[in-house]
Amino acid sequence: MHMQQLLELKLWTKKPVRILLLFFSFLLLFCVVKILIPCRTYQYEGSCSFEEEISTRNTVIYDRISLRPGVYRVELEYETDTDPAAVCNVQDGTVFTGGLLSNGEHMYSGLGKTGYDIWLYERTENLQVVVSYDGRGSLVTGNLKITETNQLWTMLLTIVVFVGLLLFCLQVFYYYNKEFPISARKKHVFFPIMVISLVASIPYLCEYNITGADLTYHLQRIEGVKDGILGGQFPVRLEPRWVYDHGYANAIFYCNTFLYFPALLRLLGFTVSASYNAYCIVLNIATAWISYFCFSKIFQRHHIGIVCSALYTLSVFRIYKLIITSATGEGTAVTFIPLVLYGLYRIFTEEPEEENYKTAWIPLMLGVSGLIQSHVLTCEVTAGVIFLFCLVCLRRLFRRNTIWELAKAALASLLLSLWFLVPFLDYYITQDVHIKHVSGRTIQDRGLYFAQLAFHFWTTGDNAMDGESGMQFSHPVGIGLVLIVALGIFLILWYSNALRKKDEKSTYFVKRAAVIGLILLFMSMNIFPWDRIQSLHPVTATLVSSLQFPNRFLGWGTACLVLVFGFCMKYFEDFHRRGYRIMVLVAVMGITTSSMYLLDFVNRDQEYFELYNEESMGFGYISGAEYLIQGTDESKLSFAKAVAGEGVEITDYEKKYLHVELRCRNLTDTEGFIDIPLLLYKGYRAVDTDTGQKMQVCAGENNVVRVLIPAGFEGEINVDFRSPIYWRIGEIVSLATVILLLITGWKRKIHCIDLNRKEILR
Amino acid sequence: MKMKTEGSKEAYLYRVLYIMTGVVALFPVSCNYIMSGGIVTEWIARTEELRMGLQAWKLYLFPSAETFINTGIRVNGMNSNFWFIIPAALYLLTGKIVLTYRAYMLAVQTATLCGAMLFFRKVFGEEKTRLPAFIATLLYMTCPYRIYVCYDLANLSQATAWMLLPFYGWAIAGLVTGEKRRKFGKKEIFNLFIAALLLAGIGYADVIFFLIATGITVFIAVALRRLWPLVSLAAGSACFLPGLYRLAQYLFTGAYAELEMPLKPIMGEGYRFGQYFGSYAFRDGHPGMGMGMLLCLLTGLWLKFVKGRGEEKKKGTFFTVLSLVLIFFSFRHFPWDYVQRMGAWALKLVSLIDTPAVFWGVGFLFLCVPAGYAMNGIRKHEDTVAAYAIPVMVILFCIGICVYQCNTLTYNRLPLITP
Repeated sequence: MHMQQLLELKLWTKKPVRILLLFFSFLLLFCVVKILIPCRTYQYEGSCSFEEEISTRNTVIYDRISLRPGVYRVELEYETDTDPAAVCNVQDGTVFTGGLLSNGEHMYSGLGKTGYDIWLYERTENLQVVVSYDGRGSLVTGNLKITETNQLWTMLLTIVVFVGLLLFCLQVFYYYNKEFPISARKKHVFFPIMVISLVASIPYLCEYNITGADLTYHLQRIEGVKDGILGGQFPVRLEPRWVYDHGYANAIFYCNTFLYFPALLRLLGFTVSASYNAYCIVLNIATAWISYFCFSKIFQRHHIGIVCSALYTLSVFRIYKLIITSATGEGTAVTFIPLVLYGLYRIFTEEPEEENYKTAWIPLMLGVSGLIQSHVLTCEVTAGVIFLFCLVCLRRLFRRNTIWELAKAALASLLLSLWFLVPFLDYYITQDVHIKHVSGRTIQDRGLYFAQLAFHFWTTGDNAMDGESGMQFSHPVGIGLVLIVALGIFLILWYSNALRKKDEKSTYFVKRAAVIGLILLFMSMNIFPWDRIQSLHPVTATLVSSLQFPNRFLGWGTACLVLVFGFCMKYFEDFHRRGYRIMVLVAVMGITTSSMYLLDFVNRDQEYFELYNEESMGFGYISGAEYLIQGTDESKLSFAKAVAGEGVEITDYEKKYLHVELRCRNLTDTEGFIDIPLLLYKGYRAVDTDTGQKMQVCAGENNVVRVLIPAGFEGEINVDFRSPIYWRIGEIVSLATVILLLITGWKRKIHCIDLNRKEILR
Repeated sequence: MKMKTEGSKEAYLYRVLYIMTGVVALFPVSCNYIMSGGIVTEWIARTEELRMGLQAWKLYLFPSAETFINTGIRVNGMNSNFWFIIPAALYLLTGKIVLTYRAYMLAVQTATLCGAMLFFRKVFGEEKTRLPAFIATLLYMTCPYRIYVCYDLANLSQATAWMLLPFYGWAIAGLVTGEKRRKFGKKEIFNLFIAALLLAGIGYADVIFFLIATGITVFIAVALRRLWPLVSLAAGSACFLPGLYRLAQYLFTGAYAELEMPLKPIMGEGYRFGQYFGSYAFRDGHPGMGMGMLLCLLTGLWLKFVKGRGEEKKKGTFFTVLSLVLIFFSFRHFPWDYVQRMGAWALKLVSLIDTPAVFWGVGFLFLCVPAGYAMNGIRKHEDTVAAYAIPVMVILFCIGICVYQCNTLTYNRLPLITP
């Protein structure tokens, strides 16, 4: 119908549309031509040795390099015996501020040459390559190679397409609205939801990255996806450059479905900071829309949906997780909680005999799938919350269709996430990873104080609640006064029997949500007996320890209490108009004086950096080293070359991502080995390229890949990572599920349209 | 009779609101000391020198190189002492610098309020209600950047220019309103004279603001195709000849090298996009628009988007464009480095600006006009709650954020040890 109306508009006859299309077509063509132009390589010869024990800063190694605008890869050869002894970077005082972007790269003994990207936006005649050396060990630099890439133009192409589409949509909106006026209701929804997204995104619109404790870790995840794709993996299982080019199994345990978007931006040439910020902005928009959709559907009133969306998207917990600690995974998971809540609402409140009930599983399935594929720990919490909901709605649970809808949701989520769950379980069962040995970590002392739950004027803080400093300078962990007030009002209404007036299905569910919300708040506090639960059984010990922070329950706590807030609004709107206005005022004041207050302080007080190329942040940070094979000494891992055992000689060696090609010979009559700088996880294989025969692979020194070389062997060996066949089956099943769901959804939509038509004809 | 009573009630209410607007901007003056920080020492040094000069029957229109260098502050080197003569005289009479400072700031803030009232009343003259003019005045008085300049940065030259800008706007508005080919009478000559004097006054306060005001005047003259603003510009420039001569000498000759004013790129010091939306706190000397202005602009956009009825008046569009141009100058990606490459004079001139943030401040003044129109639009809204609640919220946010900004400033700053 919309398509027909759009065609009726005859947009191609409108002059402004033509001008826009012409202009952007020209820009697109320009970018495409630029992309097609062959890239140049510039080579410079020279050498420079640094005197030991004399530190220098920005010593110019090469200068007067002439380059046109573009994204370049800088490769400076060097020899050093210390890790890391120096930093190589570029500088240019002649280009405009921000015209040359690079953070440089650390120089490692195991690398032999740098390989980092620089963004140059203005032609220059005086680019300089500089080295800052701290005086440790020896350092001699060699030849320089600067290779042009077409990433500047792919990046511009992306921007042109995005801006062009945006302007085109605006034009379409303008003409469409003129011919077929769009309802005020739709506009009333679109505008505030976009404003909510804008406000939540203010820190990301400042171009820098606010540095939370986990930021580097999540940036490494994004880079891991990018490098994995470049290394030929899809889906990415092992991040190839992580842990100093040793390949880390983070993606197996921590699903990165949503990180493909920023990784794609990186592949298109955007900087690390820009890609991450774009991801977080998209996440904010998604959270605002999803929460609006869910809460407006629950309460059947769009204005309540808008208020709930604002309270949820700008909730203190979300700001804390996503910005202050940069817990991107958990921040992503928070986006899907309202979907699960809405799914549970539908399953437990709708009539099982109704036709519509057959779709009640869809939001639950989408929510749970999103949670599994963004943050496993939130999934763990969600499983507990779903269990609690089932428990408090026990009477309604044991209805045939209800169980069937829950089962459908569970099964579909499982199938959708099978591509991730199969490798996850495979590694969890077969690999002795460090995460399986952390059951001794206690969490109770990291719980909240009662007073914290109702804080209102939050500032950044730097105390992660380790139990020693109390609430002094504590991080803004809580749910905010506004939601506590709503809970208080709801409890008063409940206690005074006022809810009887409102005999609606939402009352049933919200009462239970309020109780569960209270339980979750209790579980996030330091008086909840986590230590005792942990000491009950090894399984509870592992589960509790893996939670790390009791505040993880606040995500669900916030969702439940936003639901309670929405309910109170609806109640007052129906029975007490003045009360309704007060509730709206409370929400507005809460957002403007607590959430926006916190956002401003975070933006002012927290450290920040602008990161352009991944190499500058290093490749070593792996947070708690959860996914290393137990017993691996993290401190001994650095960039390295292959090490041959006694009697084995490596004649040729090349390593690219997780793929190694080497030529060797075993000069002895006994079996020898070669240790390759790759962490040994299940899936590595070595093949004799001449015969195609598989060679034996086992754990070498510090759990690296060791290829056993038979006596007298001489030839070429390929080592790489291959996903087992049952992982591939899991991927196919997930893909088939997606296709099946899309087809079913599409058919259902067509069916609904047909029904509507018939209804109209009647 | 009833109408008259209601009208007088409204007038009384607005009078109270205007007084409140003036009072909140004076909070930091209520301390009986001068706050440390910013560049307040530069003003004290100038006043001290002027006082000594007056004692010896000498008038230092510009600070001596020695005084300037002794302050250790390398900005404002081209600014005159003109507006500090009266404070210096007061200082001479009383010998109390704190009293002088407080009296001067009191005068500046009061005059700023008067100027803003005059300007915005002129702009919104044809509106039936006083609300848009009041909201615009309130926004200007509580503008976070203005408060930052007055008390945090303590750049009293700029604070004076901020005081004169709305007066100048009022005078120019007087010149350009009405028919294009009207008879040029006594009133117009008076307006021309006042505009010229005010422009010169801005020049004597802060030379960069003089150049900005000049640019805006040319923009207005070209956009509205009026000659008289250009005549007033010429007359104003003539009045400011000593300052212009000094500036030209600095820019085109090697003069004033002894002032050691830094030559630096300013592009990197511009606003980042997200910084425009800040309210409570800010970094790098970049206060945002505050929640009051944000709410006004969002209301305007909402009316345009949802109701399809924005403030269609040409005046609103004109001021929006003007403010957007100025805001673009304050943006981090405006190519100031390219401007600086135009020659040694451009390098010196752009360095003299010190930070592109000043353009945000001036842009804010003109942004108050569409904000005022937005409030006028919402006042006519059929939803009476929104029609009342939104303006009330804007007032509360403006006053609240201003009080917060002043409170945190006075809370965090030590008193300056004064002579």
